[in-house]
Amino acid sequence: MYKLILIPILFFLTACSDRLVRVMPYEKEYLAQDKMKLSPVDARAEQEGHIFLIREASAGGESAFQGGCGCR
Amino acid sequence: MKKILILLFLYVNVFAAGQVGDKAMNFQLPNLYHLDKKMSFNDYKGKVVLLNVWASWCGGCKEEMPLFVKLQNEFKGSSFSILLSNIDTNSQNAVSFLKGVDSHRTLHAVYDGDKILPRAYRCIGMPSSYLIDKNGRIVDVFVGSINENTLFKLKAKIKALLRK
Amino acid sequence: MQIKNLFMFFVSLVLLELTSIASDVKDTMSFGADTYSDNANVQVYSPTFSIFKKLSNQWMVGLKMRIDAITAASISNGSNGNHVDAVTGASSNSKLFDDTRYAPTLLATYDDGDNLLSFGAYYSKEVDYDGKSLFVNYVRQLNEQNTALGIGVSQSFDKWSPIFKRNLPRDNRNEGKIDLSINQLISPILSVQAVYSHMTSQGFLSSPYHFVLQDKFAKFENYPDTRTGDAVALKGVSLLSTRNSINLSYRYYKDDWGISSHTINGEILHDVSRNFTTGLRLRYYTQTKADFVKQVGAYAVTDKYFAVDYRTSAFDSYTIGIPFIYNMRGSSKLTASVDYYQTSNNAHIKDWYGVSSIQAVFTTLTYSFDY
Repeated sequence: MYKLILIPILFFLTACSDRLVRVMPYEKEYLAQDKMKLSPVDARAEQEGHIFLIREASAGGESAFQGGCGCR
Repeated sequence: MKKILILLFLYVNVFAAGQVGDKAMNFQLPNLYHLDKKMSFNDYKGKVVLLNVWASWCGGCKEEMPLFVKLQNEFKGSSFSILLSNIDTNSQNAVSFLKGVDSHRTLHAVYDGDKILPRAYRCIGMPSSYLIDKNGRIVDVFVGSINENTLFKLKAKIKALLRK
Repeated sequence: MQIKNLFMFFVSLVLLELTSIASDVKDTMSFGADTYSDNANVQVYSPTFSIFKKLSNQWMVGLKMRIDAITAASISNGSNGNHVDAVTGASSNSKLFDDTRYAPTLLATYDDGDNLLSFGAYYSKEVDYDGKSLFVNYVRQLNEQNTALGIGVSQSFDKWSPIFKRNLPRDNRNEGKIDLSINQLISPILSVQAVYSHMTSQGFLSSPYHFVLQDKFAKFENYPDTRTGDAVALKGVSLLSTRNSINLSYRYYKDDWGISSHTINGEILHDVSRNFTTGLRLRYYTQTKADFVKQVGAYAVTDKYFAVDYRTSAFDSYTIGIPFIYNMRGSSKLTASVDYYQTSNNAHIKDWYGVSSIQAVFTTLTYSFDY
């Protein structure tokens, strides 16, 4: 039974799928640029995460942590 | 079971990285500082070479460059050469960066805008450095930037190769 | 015994993976100044500071500090700026700011290029609220760093202590969140990300200061003491030309209070020169109301829940902004942004703040460098 669990975990940790290897490290020139980040200005992402949390009722969808406050 | 696991790890980790023991690829590429002049790897026959594939957009590549300048100066007058191979889309970005860290052009540099070398060597990381002996064989591969710790071991290997 | 041996063997193989390649973590520092100002008489000035120190090739520790100096009519009056204050004492007009919130975050990071683990603690202190949180995030790179799988968990243990004497039914506010993300490079000029978040809150979830005031009665806000929500987001960034890129994101949120929302964000970035990038961003948000929310003036004294906060009602919001990124010599960077935010007209906003909609401007300015 544990073989059935271990092998998928090993694949999760180390597996390579050729179809998902679409960009080699030496092809990442554009992806390394600021304009290619999902959130190009970190300070704005942090600040507006806080603002939208207190000005709107929704949360989530970001992978960064946001602390709570008693803001009105 | 253990044998299966070992084989699994070896398979996924060794499938393309590193060509230790392989013959280094011969190439003809333009000089980074004078693009109309060609440089050939044959010019380094009988020398110990550290071939470095790098780009100005790669943070680790920029970080190790001052160490390379220092390393080349330490082996001045010997048969050891560092050869930089830049893969920027615009070679001027590479020249601008090198002006700041290697103003005397201590390091030899070629321009590989078509990324021939990383494709041939199937580089799995940036930067990638290949230590090549006097017979043109790859004896070591460094994936990621070289730091003070790896530099210590690298110097020992270079000295050993120069003695042969 | 066999299982134990196999487990130890597996752990040793994984540890080999953990130290395979050194990452390029660096010592960095940043100083920033953020501002927020809206027509509900809230102004916030926020100096920020962060310092990250490398302990080894893979380990780094960091400290982030944010101070929010707040001027808000709702704080100085103890209730809303529009209604006559019948509950609290006089405001303290002599102070420069009505409230100052100190929020340090301490974190540690392990990064070997394929595995990124970060964990830490957050604390915030303001005049009537203490926030304490723990968080941990793990990202695993796969497929020659083309695929990144991430999991993040955070739990907060916050506490209210209102500035006037009011016995709250409960003074805690605990929030737990789990984020699962997957990031995939599609081509040298396109990458996409999907994020799923699950959030749970329990405790005192309304404001201790908000109250419903109708002809025959006044009642403090009362919300359910638990809330569970889920969000799914899809994002993508693509190069349009060597100097231009576009990023788009969409998020759907839904919770057990009956609130659901859609958020769409789009941004175009342009390299003015090799070192300077700017652009334009647009964001649209729309949400439905919570099930227990009634129209202004429609509550009955026998209702179980009372809400005056516009955030539990239905409204839209629009944001337009401009980012600035300037790469200086070496690794120094100056970033700035200015954004204008506006909600749709809303009766709850009008009732509480005396304005038809919330209009705000927020800015950031940050200088960061390696040391």
